[in-house]
Amino acid sequence: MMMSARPNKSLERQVDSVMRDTRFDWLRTRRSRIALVALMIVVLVANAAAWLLIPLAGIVFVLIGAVVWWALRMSVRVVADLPEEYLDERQNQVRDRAYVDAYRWFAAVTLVAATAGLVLFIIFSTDDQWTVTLSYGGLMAAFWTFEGLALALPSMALALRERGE
Amino acid sequence: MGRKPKSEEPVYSRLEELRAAKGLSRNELADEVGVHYQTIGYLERGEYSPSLSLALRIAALLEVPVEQLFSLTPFTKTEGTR
Repeated sequence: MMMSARPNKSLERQVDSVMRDTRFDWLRTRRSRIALVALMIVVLVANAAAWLLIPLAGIVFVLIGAVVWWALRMSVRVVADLPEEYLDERQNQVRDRAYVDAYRWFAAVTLVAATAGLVLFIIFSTDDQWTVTLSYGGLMAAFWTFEGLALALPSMALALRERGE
Repeated sequence: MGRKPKSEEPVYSRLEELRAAKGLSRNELADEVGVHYQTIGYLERGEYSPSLSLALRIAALLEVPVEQLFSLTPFTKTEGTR
């Protein structure tokens, strides 16, 4: 007996709506996409700083980051986040290339962070021991930075690769 | 002998001319062959090389041989007006 995949009609309608959307064409110019990528970077940095300095302010930047992330995804028609069956052959190709870029950038950030941790350990450790006190703000700064990068990097890479519409 | 980078292998297209001759908009052609209208734009500008399947579907819809639609060498004026 053949098992057929049950199509997700609701998702199909949403995808169709995004692909045919013209209300947000102003987000899809080359200049707007570059501006959104720059804004996303600023928000990620500001978010980390806010959590470290004034933890409640970090919540505000998380909300701002969510809005910027939405705008970034709309600027590339959510291509970076859709399953391949909802994309045409060209969109699949650019999405795959964007993921290669996003992986390389994420790996670079992780490598820098891990190396910085290693260097700090070497500098501050005594008898191969270094006790670090992690505050709630520090934990949130690290969490939201890596969470934000993991979620936003594919769309950022796609926004920089694609020509404006 | 190494592989040529893909950027050095352009695919020339008469898609815009033949699409207009059929009276089809980008959106209409895109819907008929199952791609996004933006992809049609990329094909017309020669910025994207279609798969064989897509090239054949477009050629069948426009009722032309696929080699009159896409080429590895620039189309001559006579080919364009034939």
